[in-house]
Amino acid sequence: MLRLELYKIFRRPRTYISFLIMTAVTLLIQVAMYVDGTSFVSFAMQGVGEQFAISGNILNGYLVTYLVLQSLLVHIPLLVALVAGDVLAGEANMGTMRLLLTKPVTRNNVVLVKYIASIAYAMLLLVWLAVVGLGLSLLVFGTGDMINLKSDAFIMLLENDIMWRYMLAFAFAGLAMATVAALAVFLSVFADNSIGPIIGTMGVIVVLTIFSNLEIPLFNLVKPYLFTTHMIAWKGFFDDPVPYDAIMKSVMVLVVYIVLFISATMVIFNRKDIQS
Amino acid sequence: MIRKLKSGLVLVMMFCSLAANAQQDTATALFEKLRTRLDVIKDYVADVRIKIDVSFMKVPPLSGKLYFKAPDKMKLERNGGISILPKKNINLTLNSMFPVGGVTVIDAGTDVVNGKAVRIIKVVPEGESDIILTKIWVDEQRNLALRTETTTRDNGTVKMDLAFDKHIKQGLPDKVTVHLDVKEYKLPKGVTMDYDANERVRAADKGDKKNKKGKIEINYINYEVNKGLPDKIFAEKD
Amino acid sequence: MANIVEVQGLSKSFGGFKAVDDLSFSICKGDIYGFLGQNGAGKSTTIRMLLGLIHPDAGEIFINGANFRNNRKRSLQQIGAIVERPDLYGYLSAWDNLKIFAKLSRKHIPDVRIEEVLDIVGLRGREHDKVKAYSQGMKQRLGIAISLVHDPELLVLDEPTNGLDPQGIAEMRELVRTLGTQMGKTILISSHLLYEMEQVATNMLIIHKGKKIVEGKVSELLNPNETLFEVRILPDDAIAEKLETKGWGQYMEESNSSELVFRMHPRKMPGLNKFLVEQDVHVLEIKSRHSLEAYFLSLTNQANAEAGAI
Repeated sequence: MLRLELYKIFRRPRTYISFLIMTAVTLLIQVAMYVDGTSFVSFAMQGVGEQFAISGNILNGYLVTYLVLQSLLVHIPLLVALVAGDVLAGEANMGTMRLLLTKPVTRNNVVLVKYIASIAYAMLLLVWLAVVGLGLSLLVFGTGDMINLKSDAFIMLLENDIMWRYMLAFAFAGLAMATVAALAVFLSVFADNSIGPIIGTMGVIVVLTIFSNLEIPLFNLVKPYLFTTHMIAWKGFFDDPVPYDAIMKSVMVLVVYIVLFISATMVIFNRKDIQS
Repeated sequence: MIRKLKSGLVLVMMFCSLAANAQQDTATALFEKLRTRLDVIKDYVADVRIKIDVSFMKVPPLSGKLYFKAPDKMKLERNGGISILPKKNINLTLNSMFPVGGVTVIDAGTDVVNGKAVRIIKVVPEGESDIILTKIWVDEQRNLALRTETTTRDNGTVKMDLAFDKHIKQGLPDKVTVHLDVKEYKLPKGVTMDYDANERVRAADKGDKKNKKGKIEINYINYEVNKGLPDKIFAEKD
Repeated sequence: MANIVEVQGLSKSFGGFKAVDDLSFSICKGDIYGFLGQNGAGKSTTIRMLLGLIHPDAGEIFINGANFRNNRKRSLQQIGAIVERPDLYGYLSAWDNLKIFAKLSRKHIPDVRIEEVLDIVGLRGREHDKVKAYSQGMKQRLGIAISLVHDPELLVLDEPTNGLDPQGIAEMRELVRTLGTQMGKTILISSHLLYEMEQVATNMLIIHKGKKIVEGKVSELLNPNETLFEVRILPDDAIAEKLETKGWGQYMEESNSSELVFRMHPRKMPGLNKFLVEQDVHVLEIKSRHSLEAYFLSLTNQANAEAGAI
């Protein structure tokens, strides 16, 4: 059944539009860095640059990829929701849901298989991002040591100490996108039209990201429990030392959210009367 | 009797004056000896390992080649890797701490550095110079500067500690520790969108951040001295 | 004969509205079972409960003796269904759609079987066209192909002639007849096209406002003596009296100077026609109102009247 779901997903033009959009945005960032990256780097490093002379290949492929990831991990949830939000609602909208459910497949199986297919799509999107983002950036901008600017720290990572961090960062990003997919599938069960779940998913992520980032004491109480707070844990792999304990905690939180979303989807879908 | 006392006093005063003059001369001579020894080194290339110890910077030890050409050219080369050095005008070499041209040298007493008895001299350039004052802790016996404290016009005060071992014959240090004053570093969280790994750790770090001191430790693995380095090595790459 | 479908006391409400009310019926192997009712009578709801799309509030469904609730997968393997219009993956071809749904049936369906069902429904040669380019009739036929591809015992066809033109309706009728009589399929077919149902159904159930009104063999329920004929004539004020005199009055339901309605066996129509000609009555048109339609209307009107009286 998984092969069938993947077949359906990859026979739809909108799937390839997602890859195109991601490629275009990545290339735009790379072109911008190529043309004006030096001023950007100087601007970003003003605080440190006043006190230290920093030279060498700062604007290398690793830094550019980090910038690509930083911006795209806001956009990729939308591209993931485009497919995941459609898996149940889209079938209801097309009317194929009733034909699908008259076949000898359990509803739990339907939810699980569609969710796994959404994750597979999201992983492929990230692999493509790795190729276009990391691969192309290294080709164009070369390699070198990487600088990571945090709000209260300046971190430098040596060239031979970076690739494994990217592998783990992409792996974690996969888990983060799996959480987005779970949310989108959950919202998809309530709708007969995929627009609602897609917009709903993005709305939830935008609102919760605001909660996660605003430094307000009241929000600080809920932050540790929001999945958006933990979705950016991939950045921890570019810290020194890598906060493995905190990252593992983020992994657990995201896994719990995935289990909750998908379990709830199954319960609701099993009880639902298919009237579309 | 009074005449004898007066003569004696004059003699003592003359002796003290002579002695003082002798001390001054010794301080100047000490400085000149040091500078002469340094002047022998026209250029060098050294394999170095640099450790940066600044509260807000997390930088691993950096390996590279440090190029020096008298009197004040210096460059750190890391094969395309990123080099981090204090602001351009603070030259990390001992030579830069020594003013060129005419100077006034004042004896500033004695001290102990790392268990060694040292003479302290203060050197004031006579002509136009970025350096206002250099204080040097000198190991008289070995004719080595173990510590310098240089006050410059534009870059505040820079302190350096020097340790000698393998390259002592050439008067070149094995380790130089540069002590810096650093300003607080801050970027808006909304821009960086940090992943807050551990609030408790952050609180502990904050204590350190209030300490506005930092240091850079340069370990010299080996030197190639007076090989005739061309100026183009030190040219800024675009 | 063994019951393929056994429904006992099925009920379903949506909010305060009772869509299906204590419905029971059974379908034997080989039946072409007509499921009749007005729009909103509860036919689609019943069929969806039969297929597990809607959860009944009460009642049990048995497919080949096994309770559907506990044997959903096994039961659905024996059923092929179209529920209302067959919505398919328009961006895929008919062949791809068939392959997908064939795989979902959990049986091994070779390509030769897919070609076979395409032949049965008359879509060979168009199987690689995208479904979104198909006409409504072609989509309906593809829907039937999908319901047939895994060779189920029971076919459930909910309004299979929806959206079809007269030729499409006739073709669908022939196809259903072939599936039932020649291929031995048991078919549950719901429709509001009573004439079409009369042509194909062997058994029927009439449902009205969620309740069963009648169930049984078509041949036993529909009395040919109850056939209605409408005769239009040039105005003749004396014709009613003439018909009464000659004994035709007993069959007359309604009459006025230009229109006469008779309820009788079709065998009597030639005799009536001859009488009218002999009486110099100019007959403009003779129309028979189909027996099933008449029967259906009489039943539903009666049910409405009883409900009103309560």
